[in-house]
Amino acid sequence: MRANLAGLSDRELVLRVQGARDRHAFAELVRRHQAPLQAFLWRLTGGGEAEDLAQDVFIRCHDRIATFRGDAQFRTWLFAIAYREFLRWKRRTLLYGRLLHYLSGPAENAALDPDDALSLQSALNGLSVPERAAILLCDACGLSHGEAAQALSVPLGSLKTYVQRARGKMRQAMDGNAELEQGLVSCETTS
Amino acid sequence: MRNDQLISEMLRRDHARLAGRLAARPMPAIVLARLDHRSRFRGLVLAGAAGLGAAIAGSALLALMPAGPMGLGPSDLGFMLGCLVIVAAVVALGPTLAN
Repeated sequence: MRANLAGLSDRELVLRVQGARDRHAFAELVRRHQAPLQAFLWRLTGGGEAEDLAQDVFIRCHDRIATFRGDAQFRTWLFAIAYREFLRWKRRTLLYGRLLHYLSGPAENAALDPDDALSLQSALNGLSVPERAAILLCDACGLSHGEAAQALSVPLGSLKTYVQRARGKMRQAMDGNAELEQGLVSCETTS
Repeated sequence: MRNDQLISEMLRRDHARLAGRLAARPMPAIVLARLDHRSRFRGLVLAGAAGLGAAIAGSALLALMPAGPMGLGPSDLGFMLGCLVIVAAVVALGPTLAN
Protein backbone atom coordinates (compact mmCIF):
# COMPACT_ATOMS: atom_id res chain seq x y z
CA MET A 1 0.00 0.00 0.00
CA ARG A 2 2.70 2.42 1.08
CA ALA A 3 4.80 1.61 -1.99
CA ASN A 4 1.83 2.45 -4.22
CA LEU A 5 1.17 5.70 -2.43
CA ALA A 6 4.82 6.75 -2.50
CA GLY A 7 4.61 6.98 -6.27
CA LEU A 8 1.68 9.39 -6.22
CA SER A 9 1.99 13.17 -6.32
CA ASP A 10 0.76 15.34 -3.46
CA ARG A 11 -2.21 16.40 -5.57
CA GLU A 12 -3.22 12.78 -6.20
CA LEU A 13 -2.93 11.96 -2.52
CA VAL A 14 -5.04 15.00 -1.60
CA LEU A 15 -7.71 13.87 -4.10
CA ARG A 16 -7.78 10.45 -2.42
CA VAL A 17 -8.22 12.05 1.00
CA GLN A 18 -10.91 14.40 -0.32
CA GLY A 19 -12.76 11.66 -2.16
CA ALA A 20 -12.60 8.53 -0.02
CA ARG A 21 -11.17 9.95 3.23
CA ASP A 22 -8.22 7.65 2.58
CA ARG A 23 -6.25 7.47 5.85
CA HIS A 24 -3.22 5.88 4.22
CA ALA A 25 -3.04 8.70 1.69
CA PHE A 26 -3.18 11.26 4.47
CA ALA A 27 -0.52 9.38 6.43
CA GLU A 28 1.68 9.47 3.33
CA LEU A 29 1.21 13.25 3.07
CA VAL A 30 2.20 13.59 6.74
CA ARG A 31 5.23 11.36 6.26
CA ARG A 32 6.32 13.35 3.23
CA HIS A 33 6.04 16.80 4.78
CA GLN A 34 6.62 16.24 8.50
CA ALA A 35 10.35 16.87 8.50
CA PRO A 36 10.50 20.17 6.56
CA LEU A 37 7.41 21.42 8.37
CA GLN A 38 8.84 20.61 11.80
CA ALA A 39 12.20 22.12 10.91
CA PHE A 40 10.44 25.32 9.79
CA LEU A 41 8.40 25.45 13.01
CA TRP A 42 11.46 24.59 15.06
CA ARG A 43 13.33 27.67 13.87
CA LEU A 44 10.18 29.80 13.97
CA THR A 45 9.34 28.94 17.58
CA GLY A 46 12.89 28.46 18.80
CA GLY A 47 12.46 24.70 19.41
CA GLY A 48 10.32 23.31 22.19
CA GLU A 49 6.80 23.26 20.84
CA ALA A 50 7.58 22.47 17.21
CA GLU A 51 6.46 18.83 17.29
CA ASP A 52 3.11 19.50 18.98
CA LEU A 53 2.55 22.44 16.70
CA ALA A 54 3.32 20.34 13.62
CA GLN A 55 0.76 17.76 14.75
CA ASP A 56 -1.81 20.52 15.21
CA VAL A 57 -1.03 21.78 11.72
CA PHE A 58 -1.64 18.33 10.20
CA ILE A 59 -4.89 17.93 12.12
CA ARG A 60 -6.09 21.33 10.91
CA CYS A 61 -4.95 20.38 7.43
CA HIS A 62 -7.05 17.20 7.65
CA ASP A 63 -10.08 19.22 8.77
CA ARG A 64 -9.75 21.71 5.95
CA ILE A 65 -8.50 19.48 3.17
CA ALA A 66 -11.88 19.68 1.41
CA THR A 67 -11.19 23.39 0.81
CA PHE A 68 -7.88 22.72 -0.98
CA ARG A 69 -8.56 23.42 -4.65
CA GLY A 70 -5.08 22.88 -6.01
CA ASP A 71 -4.48 26.52 -7.03
CA ALA A 72 -1.22 26.41 -5.09
CA GLN A 73 1.11 23.53 -4.31
CA PHE A 74 0.07 21.43 -1.33
CA ARG A 75 3.33 22.37 0.40
CA THR A 76 2.55 26.10 0.10
CA TRP A 77 -0.96 25.53 1.46
CA LEU A 78 0.47 23.50 4.36
CA PHE A 79 3.01 26.19 5.24
CA ALA A 80 0.22 28.79 5.17
CA ILE A 81 -1.69 26.74 7.75
CA ALA A 82 1.53 26.31 9.75
CA TYR A 83 2.17 30.05 9.83
CA ARG A 84 -1.38 30.78 11.00
CA GLU A 85 -1.10 28.07 13.67
CA PHE A 86 2.21 29.55 14.77
CA LEU A 87 0.65 33.04 15.12
CA ARG A 88 -2.19 31.53 17.16
CA TRP A 89 0.33 29.69 19.34
CA LYS A 90 2.34 32.88 19.82
CA ARG A 91 -0.74 34.81 20.93
CA ARG A 92 -1.57 32.06 23.43
CA THR A 93 2.02 32.00 24.69
CA LEU A 94 2.05 35.78 25.06
CA LEU A 95 -1.20 35.74 27.04
CA TYR A 96 0.06 32.91 29.24
CA GLY A 97 3.39 34.68 29.73
CA ARG A 98 1.64 37.87 30.77
CA LEU A 99 -0.54 35.95 33.20
CA LEU A 100 2.53 34.26 34.74
CA HIS A 101 4.27 37.61 34.94
CA TYR A 102 1.25 39.10 36.68
CA LEU A 103 0.95 36.21 39.15
CA SER A 104 4.59 35.59 39.99
CA GLY A 105 6.54 38.65 38.96
CA PRO A 106 9.12 38.77 36.20
CA ALA A 107 10.18 35.24 35.31
CA GLU A 108 13.68 34.22 34.28
CA ASN A 109 14.06 33.87 30.58
CA ALA A 110 14.75 30.17 30.19
CA ALA A 111 15.20 30.55 26.43
CA LEU A 112 18.32 32.60 26.92
CA ASP A 113 20.59 29.68 27.49
CA PRO A 114 24.17 31.04 27.61
CA ASP A 115 25.44 28.09 25.55
CA ASP A 116 22.89 28.84 22.89
CA ALA A 117 23.39 32.59 22.89
CA LEU A 118 25.73 32.57 19.90
CA SER A 119 23.63 30.41 17.70
CA LEU A 120 21.79 30.69 14.47
CA GLN A 121 18.60 30.63 16.50
CA SER A 122 19.58 33.73 18.43
CA ALA A 123 20.25 35.52 15.15
CA LEU A 124 16.82 34.42 13.92
CA ASN A 125 15.21 35.49 17.19
CA GLY A 126 16.42 39.01 16.50
CA LEU A 127 14.09 39.21 13.51
CA SER A 128 10.44 40.17 13.55
CA VAL A 129 7.98 37.29 13.05
CA PRO A 130 7.19 38.03 9.38
CA GLU A 131 10.89 38.54 8.62
CA ARG A 132 11.82 35.26 10.29
CA ALA A 133 9.05 33.37 8.52
CA ALA A 134 9.92 34.95 5.17
CA ILE A 135 13.64 34.15 5.28
CA LEU A 136 12.98 30.62 6.56
CA LEU A 137 10.45 29.87 3.84
CA CYS A 138 12.60 31.30 1.05
CA ASP A 139 16.12 30.38 2.12
CA ALA A 140 15.65 27.33 4.34
CA CYS A 141 12.57 25.61 2.92
CA GLY A 142 13.25 26.57 -0.69
CA LEU A 143 9.91 28.18 -1.52
CA SER A 144 9.88 30.77 -4.29
CA HIS A 145 9.10 34.38 -3.34
CA GLY A 146 5.64 33.97 -4.85
CA GLU A 147 4.91 30.81 -2.88
CA ALA A 148 6.21 32.33 0.36
CA ALA A 149 4.08 35.45 -0.19
CA GLN A 150 1.08 33.18 -0.68
CA ALA A 151 1.88 31.18 2.45
CA LEU A 152 2.25 34.30 4.59
CA SER A 153 -0.71 36.06 2.91
CA VAL A 154 1.32 39.16 2.11
CA PRO A 155 1.93 40.98 -1.19
CA LEU A 156 4.99 39.89 -3.14
CA GLY A 157 6.68 43.28 -2.64
CA SER A 158 6.30 43.06 1.14
CA LEU A 159 7.69 39.54 1.13
CA LYS A 160 10.81 40.67 -0.76
CA THR A 161 11.24 43.54 1.71
CA TYR A 162 10.97 41.13 4.65
CA VAL A 163 13.60 38.84 3.15
CA GLN A 164 16.02 41.68 2.41
CA ARG A 165 15.55 43.18 5.86
CA ALA A 166 16.01 39.78 7.49
CA ARG A 167 19.25 39.16 5.60
CA GLY A 168 20.54 42.59 6.62
CA LYS A 169 19.75 41.97 10.28
CA MET A 170 21.34 38.54 10.15
CA ARG A 171 24.49 40.02 8.63
CA GLN A 172 24.64 42.46 11.53
CA ALA A 173 24.03 39.67 14.05
CA MET A 174 26.99 37.79 12.63
CA ASP A 175 29.48 40.39 13.75
CA GLY A 176 31.45 38.78 16.53
CA ASN A 177 29.40 35.60 16.43
CA ALA A 178 31.91 32.78 16.41
CA GLU A 179 29.52 29.97 15.60
CA LEU A 180 28.05 31.79 12.66
CA GLU A 181 31.52 32.71 11.44
CA GLN A 182 32.41 29.03 11.57
CA GLY A 183 29.22 28.13 9.69
CA LEU A 184 30.08 30.64 7.01
CA VAL A 185 33.62 29.38 6.67
CA SER A 186 32.41 25.78 6.31
CA CYS A 187 29.90 26.91 3.68
CA GLU A 188 32.65 28.69 1.80
CA THR A 189 35.09 25.81 1.91
CA THR A 190 32.59 23.21 0.76
CA SER A 191 30.87 25.28 -1.92
CA MET B 1 32.41 37.11 2.29
CA ARG B 2 29.25 37.58 4.32
CA ASN B 3 26.90 37.91 1.42
CA ASP B 4 23.29 36.89 1.04
CA GLN B 5 24.16 33.62 -0.70
CA LEU B 6 26.17 32.49 2.31
CA ILE B 7 23.34 33.29 4.70
CA SER B 8 20.93 31.41 2.44
CA GLU B 9 23.29 28.47 2.22
CA MET B 10 23.73 28.34 5.97
CA LEU B 11 19.98 28.43 6.55
CA ARG B 12 19.44 25.75 3.91
CA ARG B 13 22.01 23.46 5.51
CA ASP B 14 20.64 24.04 8.98
CA HIS B 15 17.14 23.26 7.69
CA ALA B 16 18.33 20.06 5.99
CA ARG B 17 20.18 18.98 9.15
CA LEU B 18 17.15 19.65 11.35
CA ALA B 19 14.78 17.97 8.92
CA GLY B 20 17.01 14.92 8.76
CA ARG B 21 16.99 14.68 12.54
CA LEU B 22 13.22 15.10 12.77
CA ALA B 23 12.29 12.79 9.90
CA ALA B 24 12.66 9.62 11.95
CA ARG B 25 9.81 10.47 14.33
CA PRO B 26 6.61 8.45 13.74
CA MET B 27 4.40 11.44 13.13
CA PRO B 28 1.83 9.85 10.74
CA ALA B 29 0.83 7.30 13.39
CA ILE B 30 0.59 9.98 16.07
CA VAL B 31 -1.51 12.30 13.89
CA LEU B 32 -3.89 9.48 12.89
CA ALA B 33 -4.21 8.42 16.55
CA ARG B 34 -5.03 12.00 17.54
CA LEU B 35 -7.64 12.22 14.78
CA ASP B 36 -9.23 8.97 16.01
CA HIS B 37 -9.17 10.14 19.58
CA ARG B 38 -10.80 13.42 18.63
CA SER B 39 -13.46 11.66 16.61
CA ARG B 40 -14.31 9.47 19.64
CA PHE B 41 -14.43 12.53 21.86
CA ARG B 42 -16.78 14.21 19.39
CA GLY B 43 -18.91 11.07 19.41
CA LEU B 44 -19.12 11.30 23.17
CA VAL B 45 -20.10 14.97 23.07
CA LEU B 46 -22.65 14.19 20.37
CA ALA B 47 -24.05 11.36 22.48
CA GLY B 48 -24.31 13.68 25.45
CA ALA B 49 -26.07 16.33 23.40
CA ALA B 50 -28.41 13.75 21.85
CA GLY B 51 -29.19 12.32 25.29
CA LEU B 52 -29.90 15.74 26.69
CA GLY B 53 -32.10 16.62 23.71
CA ALA B 54 -33.99 13.35 24.04
CA ALA B 55 -34.45 13.92 27.76
CA ILE B 56 -35.82 17.41 27.22
CA ALA B 57 -38.13 16.23 24.45
CA GLY B 58 -39.28 13.27 26.57
CA SER B 59 -39.97 15.39 29.60
CA ALA B 60 -41.89 17.91 27.51
CA LEU B 61 -43.95 15.06 26.06
CA LEU B 62 -44.65 13.62 29.47
CA ALA B 63 -45.60 16.99 30.88
CA LEU B 64 -48.13 17.43 28.09
CA MET B 65 -49.51 13.93 28.35
CA PRO B 66 -52.13 13.33 31.03
CA ALA B 67 -52.04 10.06 32.94
CA GLY B 68 -54.06 7.84 30.63
CA PRO B 69 -54.70 4.20 29.90
CA MET B 70 -50.98 3.40 29.99
CA GLY B 71 -50.72 4.85 33.45
CA LEU B 72 -47.81 7.10 32.56
CA GLY B 73 -47.37 10.15 34.69
CA PRO B 74 -44.74 12.44 36.15
CA SER B 75 -43.57 9.67 38.48
CA ASP B 76 -42.34 7.72 35.45
CA LEU B 77 -40.31 10.66 34.27
CA GLY B 78 -37.00 9.50 35.77
CA PHE B 79 -37.26 6.03 34.29
CA MET B 80 -38.18 7.36 30.85
CA LEU B 81 -35.38 9.89 30.84
CA GLY B 82 -32.85 7.27 31.86
CA CYS B 83 -33.96 4.96 29.04
CA LEU B 84 -33.87 7.75 26.48
CA VAL B 85 -30.39 8.85 27.49
CA ILE B 86 -29.05 5.29 27.28
CA VAL B 87 -30.67 4.62 23.90
CA ALA B 88 -29.45 7.93 22.48
CA ALA B 89 -25.92 7.31 23.79
CA VAL B 90 -25.78 3.83 22.26
CA VAL B 91 -27.12 5.06 18.91
CA ALA B 92 -24.67 7.96 18.78
CA LEU B 93 -21.63 6.18 20.16
CA GLY B 94 -22.08 2.82 18.47
CA PRO B 95 -20.67 3.66 15.04
CA THR B 96 -17.82 5.73 16.50
CA LEU B 97 -16.73 3.00 18.91
CA ALA B 98 -17.07 0.38 16.22
CA ASN B 99 -14.29 2.15 14.32
